[in-house]
Amino acid sequence: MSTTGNSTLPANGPAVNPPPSAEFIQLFTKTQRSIFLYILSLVPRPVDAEEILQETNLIVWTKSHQFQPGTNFRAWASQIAYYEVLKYRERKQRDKLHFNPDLLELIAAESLQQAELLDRRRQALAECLLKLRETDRALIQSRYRPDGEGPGIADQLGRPINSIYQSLSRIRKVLLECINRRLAAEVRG
Amino acid sequence: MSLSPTLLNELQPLLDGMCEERLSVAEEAHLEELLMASAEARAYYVQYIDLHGSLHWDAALAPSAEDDAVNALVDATILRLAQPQTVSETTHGKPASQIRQAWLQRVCASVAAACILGVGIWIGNRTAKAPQVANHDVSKPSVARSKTSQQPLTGHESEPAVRAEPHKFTQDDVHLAGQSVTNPEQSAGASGAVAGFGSAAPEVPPVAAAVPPGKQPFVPVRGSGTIGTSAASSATVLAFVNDQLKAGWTQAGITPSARADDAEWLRRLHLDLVGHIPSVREVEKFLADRSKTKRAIEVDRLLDSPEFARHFATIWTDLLVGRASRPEVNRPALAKFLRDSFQRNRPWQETVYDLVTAEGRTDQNGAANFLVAHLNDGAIPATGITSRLFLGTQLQCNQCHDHPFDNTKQELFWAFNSFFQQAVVVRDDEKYDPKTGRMVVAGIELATKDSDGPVYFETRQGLMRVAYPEFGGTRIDPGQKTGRRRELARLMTQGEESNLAPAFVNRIWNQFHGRSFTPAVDDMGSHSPPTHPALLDRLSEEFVQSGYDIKQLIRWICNSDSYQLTSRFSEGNSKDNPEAGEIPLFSRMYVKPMSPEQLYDSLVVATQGQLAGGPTLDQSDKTRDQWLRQFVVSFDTEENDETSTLDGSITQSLLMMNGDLVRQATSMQTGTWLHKLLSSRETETERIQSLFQSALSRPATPKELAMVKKLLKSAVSPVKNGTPESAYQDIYWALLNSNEFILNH
Repeated sequence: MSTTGNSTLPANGPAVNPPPSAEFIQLFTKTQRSIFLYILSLVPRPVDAEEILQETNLIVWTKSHQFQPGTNFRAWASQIAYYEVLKYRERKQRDKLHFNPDLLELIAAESLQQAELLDRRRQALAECLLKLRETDRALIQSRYRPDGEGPGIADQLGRPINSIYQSLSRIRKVLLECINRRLAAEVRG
Repeated sequence: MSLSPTLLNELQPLLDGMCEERLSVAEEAHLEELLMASAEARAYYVQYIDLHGSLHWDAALAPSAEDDAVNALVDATILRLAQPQTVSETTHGKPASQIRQAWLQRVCASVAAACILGVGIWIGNRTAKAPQVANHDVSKPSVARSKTSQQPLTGHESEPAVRAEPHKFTQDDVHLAGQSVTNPEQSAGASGAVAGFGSAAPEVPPVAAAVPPGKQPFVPVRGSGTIGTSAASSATVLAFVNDQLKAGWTQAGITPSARADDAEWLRRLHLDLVGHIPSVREVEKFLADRSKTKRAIEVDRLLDSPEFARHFATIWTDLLVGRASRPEVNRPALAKFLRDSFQRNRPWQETVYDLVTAEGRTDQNGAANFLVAHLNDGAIPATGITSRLFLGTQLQCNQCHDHPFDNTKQELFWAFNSFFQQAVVVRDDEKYDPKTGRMVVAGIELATKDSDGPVYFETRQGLMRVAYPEFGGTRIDPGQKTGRRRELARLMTQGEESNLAPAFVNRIWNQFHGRSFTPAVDDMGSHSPPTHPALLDRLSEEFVQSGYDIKQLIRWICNSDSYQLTSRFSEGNSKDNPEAGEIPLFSRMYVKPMSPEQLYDSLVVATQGQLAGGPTLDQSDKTRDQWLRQFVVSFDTEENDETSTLDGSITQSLLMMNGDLVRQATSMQTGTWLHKLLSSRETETERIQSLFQSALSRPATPKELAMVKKLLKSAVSPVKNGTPESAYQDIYWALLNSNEFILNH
């Protein structure tokens, strides 16, 4: 583990742009999750969304100097993400069906409009997860861990795949309702 | 968010399908449509996908505090900027969540590179945390531990909720399910939940006389293997059957219909026993026979014919694997196995034992095809159909909930299901055949894997429970060494709780009488008391005593008083009308629709199809199956349902009227039966009689004869421009499309 603190530029580094500011880095780290979720709403497969997130991060990073401190970082980064989504769709044209461009725009707008609400919902989710029954939580965990997919879980638990899908659907609904209740309670104070 | 419940109901399954990435293209289009149309749907979609994505994000990021993880991500991004080549290689074709984890582990390594890029100050503040991230065991993700709420709300948080190593099932696990387990020995005696698996004594007053006081309780025992019941005891059984039927008629205050005439009875018997109408020659011979015992003799003659085995094999092939063609099922092999069983009159319980325990290649062991057809979806179809077909017990409802009427529990389904958990369908890959130098598909095999432990299922309340293999109150050792299907077959065919014999008796009675003792032939149990309990019990008992002798059972049924009756109502039994919802009293023969196979074969017989170069009955199995297949639609549901458009409906009528089969049947080409008939030197009356005998297995009545003659005369009149040939064709066409032809009465 090296000690750091040395801020000199390397001789061979790509030092074309000035390094991002500490503020920028903080904003960047804070918004990773919401950018990912924004992308996911446009390309519903997590694998795709993650790939696009990486592309987006790359652009965000190289354009860091264009960001004007004090403006809305998330909106700025979301814009970049949106273009990355379009680029990705172009590349993967022959893959599975994607949402049509009109719908893509509508959903992008909806996601941005709900941005703050979604932040609150994500916080509520953490607490709702704790309230799940242990078996339900275990199932959710095995589903969402890397490579966790229905068929594998079905094999492992010796349950029919359909019953796994049913359970997952039920648990997601429980979580959604729990989040709704929590937000409603917040509003009431 | 004000999403209408209707829209939500439509949307929800699509969203779930999307989360599990199993939407079809059509479903995806439907989802798109809904989202385009409704802003509320879009709002809901965004929230739902956000939930899905959050779960994904958290779980994939492992239990580290979010900041640390994101720091790692930043580092990785920096690293990527520094070495674009390397990172893009890793990105390619690999789920990013894995990559994220890999990055986590490389945090330390990346720190140096990060410094180089000049974010050293910031990183420096974090280095104290970095090793923690790096050392954190990312293979144990835990959604529950987020930074905001590390205090567990429940008391059971001390253990990781997900076990990293493969779960080994022990009985301790059962506590998870909130259910206590007794050991197998203890539970063997206590069989609370097996109602419906026995022939329950109904509380509802039955139609026929109650069980006589001296009657032995019905206890199935394994047959000795020797088949055959002495003539004396056989007559006693028949007398008992007739007495019971009569008692039912007396009790209901009705008089049975008249005895069917020989022609009606012969046609019915042939359709029931060999699956097609009798030939003209058989009809003539039987009608000319003056012997008093000719009906019983005809029953025996047909039972011994190979066509009986063929017909029963057809029925049971359809029952066991359905009519739809399925690539993995070798129908001919299964039909051959069944044909052989019925031909040799193997005891029924032996055939069932073979079907349930079958192993090996589907082409070599025909019996294996039964389970190969139903092991999909975690053997759910196999569970339902085995119980339904062989035991007359509907378990499939119990898959998801306790039975609403019967007192069977959901657990019963899964306890039964777990008997099939060792069965697997193995698809042998293509293999190189050194002899021919070609690749050949080696085949499909039903095999047994070593597996133990319970199956898991979820109650309506979302409670997870387990079920161990248990049948009729007997729980078997759930260990690896137990051959579960063998145990199940043993319990089904020998166990005192098994409903194997009553279920078969009920089904065969239904096959011959058009109605079973219970409203649905395969739904027996305490919720559905039989109409003639003593009769059902006695026949079941005698069936077991005879060593599950199928032909003997059929003899009793075909020689019973009720089977001799005409299908016409008499004045005294108009209320014996099950079609109108009355309970069947068997005071007349109920009309049965022909099965598609019976119809096809009957047309072949009626038109002597082989004369015109068509297949004989023996060769026709294949052509018949091809013909049938176009009418069968199968659903890949949990019960492997299918439906046929050949069901006595208008579709069938149209098909009969306009289809190739009937067109060929009435063809006048050289060599056809009709052509031959018209080229013969027979008189008009003789020809008309031949038409009737051939299609309806009876001579025309004087009235019919007069009418047909009139028709023939008017058809050839110059005005109508008809020919004698076309007039005969029309008449034959009308006969083949009459109700009298297409029904078994």
